[in-house]
Amino acid sequence: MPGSVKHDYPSEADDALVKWSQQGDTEAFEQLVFRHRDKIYARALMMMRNEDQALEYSQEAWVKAWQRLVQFQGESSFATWVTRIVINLCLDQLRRQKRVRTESIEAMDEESGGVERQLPAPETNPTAGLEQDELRRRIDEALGKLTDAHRTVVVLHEFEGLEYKEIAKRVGISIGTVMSRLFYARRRLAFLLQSLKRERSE
Amino acid sequence: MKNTEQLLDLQAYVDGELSEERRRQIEATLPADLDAQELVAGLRQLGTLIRAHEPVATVPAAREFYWNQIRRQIEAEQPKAPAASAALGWLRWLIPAMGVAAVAVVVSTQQTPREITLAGGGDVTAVDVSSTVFRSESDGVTVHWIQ
Amino acid sequence: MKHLWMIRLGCLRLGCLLIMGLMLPAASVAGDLKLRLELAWGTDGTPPDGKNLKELDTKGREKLRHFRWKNYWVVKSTQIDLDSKASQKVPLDRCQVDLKTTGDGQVEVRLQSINDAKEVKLVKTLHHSLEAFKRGEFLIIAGDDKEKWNDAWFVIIRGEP
Repeated sequence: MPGSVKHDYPSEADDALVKWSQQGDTEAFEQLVFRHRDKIYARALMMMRNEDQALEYSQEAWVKAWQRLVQFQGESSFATWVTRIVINLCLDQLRRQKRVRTESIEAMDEESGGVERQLPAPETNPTAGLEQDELRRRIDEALGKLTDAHRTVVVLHEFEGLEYKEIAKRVGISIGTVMSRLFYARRRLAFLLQSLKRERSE
Repeated sequence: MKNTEQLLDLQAYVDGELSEERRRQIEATLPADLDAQELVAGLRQLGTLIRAHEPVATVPAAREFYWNQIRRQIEAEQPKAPAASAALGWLRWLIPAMGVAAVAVVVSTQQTPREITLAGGGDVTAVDVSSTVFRSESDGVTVHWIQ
Repeated sequence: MKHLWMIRLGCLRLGCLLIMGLMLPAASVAGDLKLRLELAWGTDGTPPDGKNLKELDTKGREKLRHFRWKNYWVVKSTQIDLDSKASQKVPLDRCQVDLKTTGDGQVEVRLQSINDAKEVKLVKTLHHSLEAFKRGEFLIIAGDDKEKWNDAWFVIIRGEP
């Protein structure tokens, strides 16, 4: 029963906190939220590119995680499980938003191959001399220049480690579309990262 | 210049999405195909770079404020704490007017059936470790809810 | 000679019986049961883009009125005649229902899930009264949709008297 036994929540592992949360212990759940909130928020921000929306959906994801706690059986880490919840929320919202105009232009560009037909030749060390934080910032900036559709497949593949089939299912597109979007997104990212490097060295 | 299909095939090769047979075919042709080697190397390098430098962010709100918003939503949408047993989890899907307040539960071990009476005149007649059964004689309906 | 005629007559009779059997419509025999099986999706939202799904009919919604979803979209609907002597597999969407009458006034229902690799996995076996089906009762097997939060799936089996 919550509160009947005092736990040292900050020092407990996720497994224990999840188990207590499943029994109704909101203090244990709060500790989980505190521990993983940045990661969940960061994923929402990466998908939505809007701080207010990222805040809203990350909080909604935590609410849904609480409601669905009984379903969590430890098949993945707890943080990964909640990340999937926030991704689904973001995907639902992106579908509703349907930024059609931008998508159409990018889609045509994708079909025709765009100006960067091949991946830029890899430099010996294109990120030489960059601090880790600066590199993260540049990658974030480049991701922000992709369309929602292209950024989504990159996030799901590169950061969530999902296979093409799983991405196709979650996003509601064919595997072929996943592949072409991913390829186009990678071309754009490589081009953007090189462009950003050139801009900053000028 | 490679066609789209070839490019996507090489991408799939890098991503480990090809069948064993197709993977071997590509590996056999790679040594003689400099363009393909360049593309494969470029994709791998880009992937490594991105994954190793995943953008991070910090919640732009104080801990208490962030948590309080969540806690209020939880309380607003679900007055009770999560059911102590997964077997009762499905009850949250009942419409509020008839569900939670009208439920009388006889708690026993997971292996023995629980009796739950619902205000609408239906009875939950059995619970096993994998499902809960709801039956309404008057409605002529039996529902097995899979956990 | 007579023997040969008798054989020929026997063959003729057998042939007639076969032809009659083929010509006879699939008439309801005592013990046959008409069932409608539907896979429905309970959600507060609309169907996924591009999917033209119909709403569950009034009778079905009435049976599900204790549940809180606003919409029940029918993914697949099939009507069958369950022969008292045979079992029947009814494919729905990513699942299959095996039905057979067990001879003791019950219908055995086995719900199986089918994944993308076409692997079949038993989800639930249960028994329901044959008479209840004949009266037009509903048997529903349901569960949370693991992918879409706050949604649920329903396999609805209704007797059609």
